[in-house]
Amino acid sequence: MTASELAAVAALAGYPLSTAHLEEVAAILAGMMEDIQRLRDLDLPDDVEPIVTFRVEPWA
Amino acid sequence: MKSGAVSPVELTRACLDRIERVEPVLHAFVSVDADGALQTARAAEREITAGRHRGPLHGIPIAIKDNYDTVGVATRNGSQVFADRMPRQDATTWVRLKDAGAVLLGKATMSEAAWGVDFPPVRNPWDVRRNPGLSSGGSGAAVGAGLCFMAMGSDTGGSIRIPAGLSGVVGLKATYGRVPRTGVIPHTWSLDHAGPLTRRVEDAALVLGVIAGHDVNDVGSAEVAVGEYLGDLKRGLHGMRIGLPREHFWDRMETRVETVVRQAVRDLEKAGAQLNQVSIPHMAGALGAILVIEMASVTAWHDKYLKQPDRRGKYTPEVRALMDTGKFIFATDFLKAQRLRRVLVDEVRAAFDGVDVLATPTLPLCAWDVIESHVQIAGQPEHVLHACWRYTYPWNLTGLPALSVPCGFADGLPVGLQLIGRPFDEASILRVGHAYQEATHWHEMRPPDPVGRTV
Repeated sequence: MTASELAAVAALAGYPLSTAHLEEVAAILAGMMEDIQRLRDLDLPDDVEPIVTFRVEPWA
Repeated sequence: MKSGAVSPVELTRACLDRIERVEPVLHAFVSVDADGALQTARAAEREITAGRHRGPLHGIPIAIKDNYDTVGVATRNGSQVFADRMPRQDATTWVRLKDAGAVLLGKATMSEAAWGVDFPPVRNPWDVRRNPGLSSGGSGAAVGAGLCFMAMGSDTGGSIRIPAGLSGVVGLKATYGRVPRTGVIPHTWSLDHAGPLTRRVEDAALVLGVIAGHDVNDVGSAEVAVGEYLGDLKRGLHGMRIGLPREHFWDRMETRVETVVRQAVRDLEKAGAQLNQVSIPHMAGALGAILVIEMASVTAWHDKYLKQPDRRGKYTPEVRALMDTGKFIFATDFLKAQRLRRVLVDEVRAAFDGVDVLATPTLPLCAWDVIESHVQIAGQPEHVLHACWRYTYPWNLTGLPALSVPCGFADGLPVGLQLIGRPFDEASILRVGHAYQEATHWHEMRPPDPVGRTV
């Protein structure tokens, strides 16, 4: 993963970064990718919903 | 206090004198408000003398981590970005502690934005060349060194329990939603917990009784009745069933730490507990989940400050780089992580079938040298920040209550035992922790005088 590869993603995110800062991000992501890939590779049952904080209360 | 045998003013002065003496070495406080503390102590003394004793915390000097809003005292989140931040409202937990009569000595040092390093580095009372743990390092050091009787911390992946374990004190992360987060600067909304560090489990139980309870201003706050934590403490250990997870929690740890914690587990058995093995199969693969949740969440909260050039420049390069990285976490990975959390909750629930409490080491290592960024554990190099939270973050992902109690020493450095309970069953982990302290007395040991020691 290189700074130039990440530059397009940063632009898409509306968060342009300098080459130096992109290189720092690339290094951090490289250190995390094994754990993130392990998460991505997990085969979870279809009926498992994500935990998201959304609760609708009756209106008074 | 109630009988007048001890004066809040004398106690506060004693703490302030000790802080003045020890602080140049430990750096546990970012700010000390001696005048304010003495003013509060004098008011407490007047009230107690007049027969209006508010409870066990009345007149007791405490510290609060620098991410809790305290009106009149800057709340900087350990960061130059918020150097001039004067909160307009007190954190709910601080309101409750104030109402109970606690005396605020000052704000405790913390890691930058609860993520980076602290400036200057806080020192471990047991060995001033070493880190007391993070991110509530100042809170851990302050209690460990006897500078105050309780310090509030915050815990997103272990930041109460890690300094508790490394500084030789008790640290309590209650069930998610048990203690309000209102007025504590967020790190990761769905992982953050507020809670105390104390010398004794009994004190942690006492504080929990004061700070716990529903708060309408905290969307994660639980409408669950607050327990009688002090009353339940003395029930002892006999018949308690303690589960030891097979996976993850004994992996890659320092041999000296394992020796101490295994002895602590045997001591629990000698005191009357039954031990059982339990299984949480997916826990070993959960690191990716907390990484994506934490990084995306922290960046989302700091987003507006990162986009202001003058503020952005005030983050340290290390923390700013971590926050920039949060922009590169994909929504699909975030949601996958949140699905894995649900699987983990179900597995942990199944693991509790037939046990009352789980027990694990708090950390896989002892306190490290402040200049080290990597350590060797079981022959493998590891970044200290990766190592220190391995056994604590699972209980942020699952929201269960977790307590760290001192359980001995390895090469003169504190070691912690972590006890985990069912949702809202803080009473059981406090009961086990208290019984352990009654049987072992590690919590009564005091560190050597830090003054004059080489850093």
